[in-house]
Amino acid sequence: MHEILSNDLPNIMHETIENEVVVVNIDNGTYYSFDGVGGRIWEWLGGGRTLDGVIGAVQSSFRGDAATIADSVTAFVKQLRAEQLVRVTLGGEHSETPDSAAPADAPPFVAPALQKYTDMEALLLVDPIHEVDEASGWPNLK
Amino acid sequence: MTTPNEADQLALFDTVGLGFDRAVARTDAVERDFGVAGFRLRLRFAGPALIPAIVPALAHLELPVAATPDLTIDLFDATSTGTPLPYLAARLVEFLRLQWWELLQGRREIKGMNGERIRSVFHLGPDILVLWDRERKRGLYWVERADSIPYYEKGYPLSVLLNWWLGSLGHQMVHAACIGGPQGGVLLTGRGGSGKSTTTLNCILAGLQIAGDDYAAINVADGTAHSLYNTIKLKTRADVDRFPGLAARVSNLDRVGDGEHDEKAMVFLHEHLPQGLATSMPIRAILVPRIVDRVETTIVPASAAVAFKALAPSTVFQLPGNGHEALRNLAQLTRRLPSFEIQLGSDFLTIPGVIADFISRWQSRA
Repeated sequence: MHEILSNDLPNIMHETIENEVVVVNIDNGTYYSFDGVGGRIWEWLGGGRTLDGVIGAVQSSFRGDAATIADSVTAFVKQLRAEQLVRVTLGGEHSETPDSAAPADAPPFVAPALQKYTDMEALLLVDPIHEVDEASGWPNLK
Repeated sequence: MTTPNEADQLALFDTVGLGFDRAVARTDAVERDFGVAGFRLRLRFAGPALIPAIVPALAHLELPVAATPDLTIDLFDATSTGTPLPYLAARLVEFLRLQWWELLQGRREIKGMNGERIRSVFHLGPDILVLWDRERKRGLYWVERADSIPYYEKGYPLSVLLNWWLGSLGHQMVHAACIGGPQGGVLLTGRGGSGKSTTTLNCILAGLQIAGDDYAAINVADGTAHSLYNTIKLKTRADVDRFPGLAARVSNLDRVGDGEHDEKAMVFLHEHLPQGLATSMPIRAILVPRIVDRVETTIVPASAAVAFKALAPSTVFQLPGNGHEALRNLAQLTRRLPSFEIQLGSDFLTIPGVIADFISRWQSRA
């Protein structure tokens, strides 16, 4: 059994603007952005992939040290999981085809970085649904 | 426990609708029509109690009552009409008050009561119940007491219903100011404290027009912004005092302050500065404001991603509905329009001129 990672979640919405992926978590008001390698990883997660499958896909699409790529991608995916932007399911046979090394003209690998924005939380936090004092009621905040 | 289906959602709608019918039977129905983005909206009030809370912000769009409306919203309150909600709906409201954390989603949607046809939200606190039936083109708006409607709802009333309805007609509500004139304008979008509201009012006083200070409806197909509200809102009393003579025009001055529970100042432009209102304007660009430590104001190119991040999350979070579709519409808008950062300098009287020059330059390219 393999862990299959996917970004197909009902509360997670995303759009790509000028190669920058913006991901919105509609439940908690947080949104994120990333580009470059991160954007490609996000694209691959749309179809569901194992972590090894993602690492292999990055290694075959970007030039760089294989171990460095594996570490960076693992860290990035770990962040996505910690932020609950991807879900994990257990799959059966691992059918992803083995990846080859990146061609010489492939772009260089740049470690993906997840930018997190929490300014919308302020809007939600004064929302009565989230912060109303249960005893005295709105507009008395906790 | 089974999951509610469309028939269950329809049953809720009809039960609340029965409440409206009972309220109208005890009062007189008052009808008011409004032209919204080229469509006819009819508000049908059970008695007069809710009219002062709902109509002022929409007054600039009012039409004589005639023809068949594209949407009818039935509005009623329990107290002034002496009509409680039908028993089952009243019990639901009671449960929502007691167990809101289990029964409501993050954007106030009632769990299980939102589908393709029926949508519903419950605004906890003032306890406003809102439903929409897409097929019958009917909305319902219920509140226990008319005087519990908060100031922000008076400033931007029925925004959830308008968002659902206009979304079904190819229009996307946006959380942004629309500044310019009938020939062209810009969307000014940014987080609180970025200078959006004072810039907007500043522009009006300098002779520009707005199609909204906080919300507008954009026709996704052609990029035209349509006015929804004639309200302009300022955060603090100090913001009001920056504009001589404005205090007398603020509708809620006695409750404005800087405290957590104070209200923001609201002016209904229709009453005081009707010349500052445009019903619609084609949008030429998106401006993201940023206050800078300089005297002069400048406008510099920005990436579409910057504009999208300023526009999309706050729009989607504040307006329950189809978030995926809204995000897609807003992405389409930011891809199509050029994006800029307006760096707001300290000489704030010069800002309208900078924006007006910018608009006229982009108008000539259109």
